[in-house]
Amino acid sequence: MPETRIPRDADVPFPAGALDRRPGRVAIVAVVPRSRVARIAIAIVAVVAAVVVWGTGYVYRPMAADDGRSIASAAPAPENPARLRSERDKLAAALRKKTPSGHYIVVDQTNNRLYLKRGEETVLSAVCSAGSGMILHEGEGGRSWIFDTPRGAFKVRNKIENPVWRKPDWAFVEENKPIPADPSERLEYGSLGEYGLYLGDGYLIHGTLYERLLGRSVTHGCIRLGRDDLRQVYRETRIGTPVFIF
Amino acid sequence: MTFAIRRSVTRAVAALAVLLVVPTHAPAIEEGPASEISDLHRSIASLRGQIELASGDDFYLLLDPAGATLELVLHGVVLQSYAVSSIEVGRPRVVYVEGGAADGLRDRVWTHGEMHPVREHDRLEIRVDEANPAPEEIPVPPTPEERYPAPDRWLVRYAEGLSLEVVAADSTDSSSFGLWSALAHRAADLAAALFGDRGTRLRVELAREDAGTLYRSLPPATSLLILPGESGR
Repeated sequence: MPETRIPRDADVPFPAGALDRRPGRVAIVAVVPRSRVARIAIAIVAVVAAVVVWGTGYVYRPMAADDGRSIASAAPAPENPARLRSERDKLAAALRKKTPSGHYIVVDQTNNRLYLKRGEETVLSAVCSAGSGMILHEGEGGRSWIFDTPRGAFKVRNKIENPVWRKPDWAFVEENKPIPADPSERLEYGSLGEYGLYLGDGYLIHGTLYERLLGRSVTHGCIRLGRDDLRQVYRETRIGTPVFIF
Repeated sequence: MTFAIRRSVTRAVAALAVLLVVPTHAPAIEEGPASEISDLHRSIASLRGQIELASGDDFYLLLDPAGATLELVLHGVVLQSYAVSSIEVGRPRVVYVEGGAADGLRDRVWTHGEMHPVREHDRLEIRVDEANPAPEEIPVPPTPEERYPAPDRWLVRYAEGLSLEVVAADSTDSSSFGLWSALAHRAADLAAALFGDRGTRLRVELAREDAGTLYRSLPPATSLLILPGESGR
């Protein structure tokens, strides 16, 4: 039978089931020792490793009533239950006193949500915008600002209708404009919406001209609300209303 | 003589009667069953812990097994409440030998909780000067979900050794992704039990959306208090 020569770069089809020899594939070769002792040793090591892996990790079981109780609290000395009940009730009352009696505002600044609450009732759940977290540098070696919304407990210090924004230095630096010497040139009308709730240290809850950006972290630290939500929050809060931002 | 003896006996009997009767008329000290007293002690200890936390300026978590809730609290005010579908205690095990200790989980405040994996704060930095003029328009930032994608399992590690493990419900599905995810978690648990802190874990399962929301918004260095009561779920 005459030998058929095929060029080296010819595309030769392999029959079905043949070894795929396309370039780029790597053949894996298992090395099996010939010595019986070595094979047994490898098998033992594999079994031990499997046992160690299977028996190592974390074991979980449902939390029971007595889980986590120390021995001391599980077996207290006999005492007068009436006295203990009275003490418990006093402590519970002291804890209740810490919660606001009227309305209060809760702001989830990462998820951009504002809740107006009264007791355990949520009166309003609104989409807001909080600080972008952006860092602004003023040229080389100049000042820097971080636009975060602060976390913690605040109070409404002032309620303002048609607030006027007195633009701070960073507002001019951000626009690469000279900082004006005349204070009146810092005033901007209308950009904060119809109402402002002043929280102190330059932070407000106010309105916005850019309602399409609500739900995103775009502000310089203030909290922006949509017009209708802002109206309700302004109407139902007073000076002194607690504001919790997390 | 006889009269004197009779009088002495009468006095003695009277004195004995007084001794026997007086204690029954003294204010009674009610002694309830030991379990009730034990529960009251636990409630009082828990309330003291809550008042101590509410008096501080730091955020804290309250895990209520009876109410099946995990709450984020500041100054005693519940800021967010998440429904918990299961609570489990996890203990490290090395070659079938269990370690860790569950004692005292509820008797203390766990402090300085730090998230793992760490939620990196992705900040945009802008430098404005003559060489770098102000951008025409600052790009619209991503949504919170895009900015901080939440893992389906994450930990809050407390300084005292306990870890709160938050698991998103349906994270252990049987899809191929779920299988790989489960294998990765198994490997992580194995490494933690062998080389990690080997601390006790408290695993809580939340709805996927809640687990993600909490991951994105949990403030740094929160404390944890576990309330008394049995898990109802």
